[in-house]
Amino acid sequence: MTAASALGRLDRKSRLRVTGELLGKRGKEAWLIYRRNWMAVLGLALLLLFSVMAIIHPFLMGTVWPKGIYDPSVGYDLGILAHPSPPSAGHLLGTDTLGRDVLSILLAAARPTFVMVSAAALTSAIIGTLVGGLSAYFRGWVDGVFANLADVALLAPAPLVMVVIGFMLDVQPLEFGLLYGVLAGLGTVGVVLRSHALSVMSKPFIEASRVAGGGAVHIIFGHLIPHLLPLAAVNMMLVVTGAIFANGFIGFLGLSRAQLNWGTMIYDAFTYMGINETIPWNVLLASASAISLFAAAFYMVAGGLHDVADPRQRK
Amino acid sequence: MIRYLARRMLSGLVTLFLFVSLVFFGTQVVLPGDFVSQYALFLSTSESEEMRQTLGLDLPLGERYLHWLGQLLHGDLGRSFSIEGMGAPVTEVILQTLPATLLVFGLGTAIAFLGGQWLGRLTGWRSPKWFSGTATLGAIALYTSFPPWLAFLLVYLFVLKLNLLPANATRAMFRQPQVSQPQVMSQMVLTLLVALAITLAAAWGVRRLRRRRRLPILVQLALIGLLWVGAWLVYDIVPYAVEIMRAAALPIMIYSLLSFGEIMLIVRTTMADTVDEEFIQTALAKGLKPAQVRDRHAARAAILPVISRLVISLPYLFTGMVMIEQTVGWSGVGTTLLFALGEQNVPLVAGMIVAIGIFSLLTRLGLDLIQISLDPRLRVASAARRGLL
Repeated sequence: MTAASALGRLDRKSRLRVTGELLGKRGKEAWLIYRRNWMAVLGLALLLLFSVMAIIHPFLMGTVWPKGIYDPSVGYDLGILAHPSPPSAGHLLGTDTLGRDVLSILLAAARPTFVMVSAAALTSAIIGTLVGGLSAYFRGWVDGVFANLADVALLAPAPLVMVVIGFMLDVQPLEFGLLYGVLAGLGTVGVVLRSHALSVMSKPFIEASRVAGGGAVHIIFGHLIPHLLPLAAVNMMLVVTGAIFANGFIGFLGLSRAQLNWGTMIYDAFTYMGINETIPWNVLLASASAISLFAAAFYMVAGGLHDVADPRQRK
Repeated sequence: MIRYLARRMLSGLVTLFLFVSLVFFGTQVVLPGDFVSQYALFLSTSESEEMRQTLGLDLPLGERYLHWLGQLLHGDLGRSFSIEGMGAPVTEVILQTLPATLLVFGLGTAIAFLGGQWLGRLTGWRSPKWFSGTATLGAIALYTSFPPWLAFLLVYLFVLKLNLLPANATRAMFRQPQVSQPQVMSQMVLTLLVALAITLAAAWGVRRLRRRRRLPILVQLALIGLLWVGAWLVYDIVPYAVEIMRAAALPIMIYSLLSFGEIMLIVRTTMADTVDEEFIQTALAKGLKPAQVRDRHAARAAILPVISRLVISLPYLFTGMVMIEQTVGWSGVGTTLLFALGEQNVPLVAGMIVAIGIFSLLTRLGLDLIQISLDPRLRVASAARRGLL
């Protein structure tokens, strides 16, 4: 705490500079720990690859790929007789049973998935942190209310609820992510963060802050929540897997109303299999591995963040 | 202890009740139309009105709720809707579908837990880097594989290519009216539970009689299997049970593969955290064999977070179960629930959720009990609360 007390004696400008240096140091240290976990680095690389996929699609559509052939929803290549066709120079991943370019659908589905996943992850982390922090600080009836809400959310697992909602309503990716995030934040993430917050609350520095006259807002936002954030980040990444599966499953049931979705690709592959009795392996493999790799990337990044948050890893 | 369990049960039931009420209103307010409106093409207006009257859908929502509530207080879940007016009692539908789900869910979770715990223990404990690396990558691949896709792959491999398993529960054997499939299934689930209880009691007895001797896990498993098959013989359901097991093998395999990855990853992480603890160093320093320290000291401490984590993951595992049922065409709770939701069969949906809720409450209580019996700290805490210490 010497650095902090020294900060108080500096003027505003140099205080900013010192804080910046401290943050830079912490960031560098965090990166060194993160880099030690090769799976986490692999996950980060995969995420970068997926973001490139999401960004590159509109450019490809505008330049190299003619709209009529490569459109992800209605494209059709007249030059090929039998669809689905295996990978070729024109279609790097081949075409599906309806004659659309598989790579184009794969790329086009990346952006909505990213939107959905980021919304779900952020919402669940924010709500989970607030729920965990508030119920650990106030205990009593606040804790009771949130515990019962969590029980409800655990009774109705978020993926299942989303499937049920998807049955009847046309849910856009962003709405899907927000809803999923609220459910997961009140449920699993809230439960995990609450038990961690309880252990933080029993630490001496909370007591010290109270003795020094810190109010509820100061203790919760200044001391408690910063200690919850690393775990919240880890759980946020784990929420992603559930969200991807639920979204993919709705698509797989054929309920996503022609939204571009990796699950819908699998649904289409099965549904139109009857047209020519061939199993379109190129479509199935591409979409299934996209779902798995996307989820796995988040899981591996979560592992790296877990290491960074673990004080024992610091040397 | 008993007071704690009773309190948990009570608060769980209250939550469940609130949740079911929410579902009752939710399905009827948010979703457009009602059960009758989907048959609007085949029915004239007066016929629709008549059907609404038989089903009680013409009453205001509040009145319907109170009526349903009154029935529930008498332990009656009402009757499912059907095109000919009132269908089968909901309790009957639940009793017909629940055994199928329980069979796959229970056996699958048990296999996944045993396998995942074993492999996680090995990989989390100073194993060579290539081994733990491959095992972890494999577990991540299983954990993140999309359930319908994995189901399709296994169906393709075992049913279409190798012809080892039947694609669906063949009903040829169940043509005779005296034996019904759900009945055999519920007998199977019950006898499995009894076999499990007997085996656990035997293991406990052996440990009590001869100190420090344990029944090896393989002997326990064999005992369970023998008792189970023996029970089939007693009930005289062997051919039916074999038929069911052949059909259930595929969903069980898919389900346990999916859950296996998650369980293994949790065990590995907690195991890796335990390795550096001081009591492990002590145990090693006093000259115990590493394998002994791993199984008796580290694994016992590492299993606790797994069980508390299992409480949270259980609903997610169940969701995976629903996806598998839907993909493989296994007629269990999940498929029925999705179907009932699709046609807004409100009493059936509400009843199913009550059943699932009670089941998950019981499972969570069971896991609580296991945790208390495994963690000495919790036992001491509860004894202290009762004033014994």
